[in-house]
Amino acid sequence: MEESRKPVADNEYLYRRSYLPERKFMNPDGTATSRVFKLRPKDEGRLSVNVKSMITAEKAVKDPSKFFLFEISNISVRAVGLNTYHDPVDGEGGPNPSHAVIVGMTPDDDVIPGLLARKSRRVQV
Amino acid sequence: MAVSINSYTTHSSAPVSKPSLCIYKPYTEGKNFDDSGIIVKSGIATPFALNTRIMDLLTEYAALQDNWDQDNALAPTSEIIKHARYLTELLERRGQSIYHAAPGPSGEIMLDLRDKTKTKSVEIILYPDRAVAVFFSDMEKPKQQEFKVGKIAEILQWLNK
Repeated sequence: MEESRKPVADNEYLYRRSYLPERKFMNPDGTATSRVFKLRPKDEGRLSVNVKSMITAEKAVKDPSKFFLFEISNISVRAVGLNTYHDPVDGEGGPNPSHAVIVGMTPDDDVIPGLLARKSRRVQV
Repeated sequence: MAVSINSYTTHSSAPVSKPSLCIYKPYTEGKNFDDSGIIVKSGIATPFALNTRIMDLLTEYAALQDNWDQDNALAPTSEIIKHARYLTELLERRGQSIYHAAPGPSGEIMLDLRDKTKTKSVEIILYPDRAVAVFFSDMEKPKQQEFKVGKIAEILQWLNK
């Protein structure tokens, strides 16, 4: 199915949003933990992200009082053997053409979430 | 002079140079953490000098409810919290500080250990049905293996060598 989707260009950056009730749920230096990039069963192997060039940080984070935003380069994602595809969706807030999915991880894999976290950085919104 | 702590804890005898009265509450396997307090003469200000923040975080994580991340994340079970506290105390006893502890979407707790030069780290991840150790290094390819408490010495040797 993914083959029919358009790959995200290597030079793009991706936003990953995470709900964190408290700042202390992040690493002490404000970076993401590996849990932010961990697949959950409902993801069905597809980690949701937004393509940075297609959405503002403010829109991507939705509610900055509840969510934190991290960004990672797509070339870093590709470097660990994953692929990113455009996956526009119609969400609660209307159409979201910036939505994309990272594929190639498995639910039992704990190496790749750690690598992605270490290559990401927090976006101040 | 030595302070003898009961043999059910991970703490062993500790020398006391300047005895003073304090309340010492060691974690005891199979018992409620808050009910295991004993009073000893000790100069130790806190039993978790290295990992006080981690123990506090685990207490907060113990209160999480399902859907705590508003995206259907499972709350860590009391069993997972117990194991995480046990590991924290074990690492404290070995002089290893824990960089961070974080809950995950499948009810897991992740303990992140880092070396002093920040070139290596180990994540010990306690899931409801398994436990894994993940090794990250600037010099080696990352790897993941099943975690067992008996491997702690080996893990710390790799981290700190």
